[in-house]
Amino acid sequence: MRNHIYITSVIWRKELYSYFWSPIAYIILPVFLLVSGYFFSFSLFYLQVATMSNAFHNMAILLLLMAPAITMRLMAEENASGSMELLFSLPSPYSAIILGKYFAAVTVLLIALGGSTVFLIPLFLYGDPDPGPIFAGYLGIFLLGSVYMAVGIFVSTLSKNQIIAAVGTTGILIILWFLAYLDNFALVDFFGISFRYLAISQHFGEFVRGIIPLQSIIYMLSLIGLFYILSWFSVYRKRYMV
Amino acid sequence: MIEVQNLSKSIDGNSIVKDISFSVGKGEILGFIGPNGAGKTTTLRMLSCAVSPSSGTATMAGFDLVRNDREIRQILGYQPETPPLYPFMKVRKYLHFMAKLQNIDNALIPGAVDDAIDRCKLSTMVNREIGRLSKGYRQRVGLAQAILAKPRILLLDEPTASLDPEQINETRSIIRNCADDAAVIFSTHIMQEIQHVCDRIVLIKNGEIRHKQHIRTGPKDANTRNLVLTISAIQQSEIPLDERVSTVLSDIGVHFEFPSARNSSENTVKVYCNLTDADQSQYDLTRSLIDANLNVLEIMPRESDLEQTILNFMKD
Repeated sequence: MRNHIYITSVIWRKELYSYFWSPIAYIILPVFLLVSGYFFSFSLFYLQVATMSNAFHNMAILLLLMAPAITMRLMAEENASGSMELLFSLPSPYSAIILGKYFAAVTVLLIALGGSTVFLIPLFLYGDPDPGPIFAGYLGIFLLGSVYMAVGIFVSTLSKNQIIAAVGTTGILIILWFLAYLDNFALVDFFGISFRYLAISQHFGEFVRGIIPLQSIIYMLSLIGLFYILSWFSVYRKRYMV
Repeated sequence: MIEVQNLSKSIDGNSIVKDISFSVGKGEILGFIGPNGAGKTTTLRMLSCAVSPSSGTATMAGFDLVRNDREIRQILGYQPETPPLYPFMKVRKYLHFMAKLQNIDNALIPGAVDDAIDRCKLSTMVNREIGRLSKGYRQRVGLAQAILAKPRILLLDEPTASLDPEQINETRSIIRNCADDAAVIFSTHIMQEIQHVCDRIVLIKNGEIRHKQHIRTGPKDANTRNLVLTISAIQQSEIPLDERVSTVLSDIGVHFEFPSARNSSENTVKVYCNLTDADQSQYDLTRSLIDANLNVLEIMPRESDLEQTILNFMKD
């Protein structure tokens, strides 16, 4: 277990370093902050709504596009360069390697969300918002982003091509987000309810309303766990089943 | 140290490696030679635990390749054909990173990294980003990561590809030094490499082993020269020619062997000799033979002999 944590931290540091060595972090972080900042300013100064709820919704949509860019290279690059082959020959557990990469992506997400806290300064200066929903919203967007990253790393394990990984991730995320809309097409109630329950947008909506529902936390953590296991299995398959 | 029995690998129904068997002992360097697509890399990938075999078994230092892959990965050093390096890392940082992934004790990492840097002659490049290194230096960094943990099993896939002659020479020495405590499998398609580095060769084509041959008859040394001598007698004698040659060569301490197929009734005899520069020279060798009333008709480097053998098998 100690070795597992150690290898995870080694990989996490290396991946984080590579984000800031390449232009990825320097493009994604400013774009995320500028675009979400624009929508936040529009909501605060033009619509005169002194809450973060609109900003959180906009961030969630923005992350649908940003998350694939953050995760696309994580495994696809290793697959393309052949370093996965070298990693297989090392005594490091695959699960720790995947986890280290995942945490690096989540750290980039945290930095982006941390940067967005500057929005709170004008919010508290010009309004009197309730801190509860802001905290819940940040927890929701963090969990949502973490699910996005887990999906992204899984799709990245499947391909050598980063563009394919990014497009595949976006596709899955869009399905997860818009699943609730299939409710209208469900002929049986059971399916309608299931679609609504499985749609990540429904669970995220609860957080934005200022609620921290346990079932939504469990749902999001389950999705993270599911895609982590799928990523592990995909890597394992390359070693044992190809 | 390495025992491979009927190892096979099929991918999508195509047999890439078919029932290959060989062994490598401690301190031995096995040359794995074959044309492109012969199955050399796939075999090394199987032995490095990167892919699992379709059938057959292999044990390395007593550990089963499939059941004990974790233990094998602890004692394994592997350099893939194109070392996958992270271009944004500096050489020293990369080696530190790889040392951590190889489970080297934290306290021992600086020493292990310095040692690998020294052995691979990378000291002038340690603070340079890998992305800015020449192909040859990248190859050396790949070799340095493979030998970091002083592996008991070293698998090298074309380690001298894209190196200049000086670097090739240095790499040969590194590999020979590593082989003192390890079993080494060295894949290449450059025949000179085999002659200079390997103790034995396994020739593979279309996934099958076509030929196995011992190369060295004497001790391993950087300056070892293998020669093929053709000898006749100046004065006839009752003692057979090959016996007279054996006596002279044994007296001066030269390692030698006769070709397996030879005709003792012939007036000439061919002998493979193995010399080291330090205490033996071609001059001393010929002098001793002439002093014993033997005529040295021809001295040829043995490479040409081996090369011809290999080329013959490649053509088949």
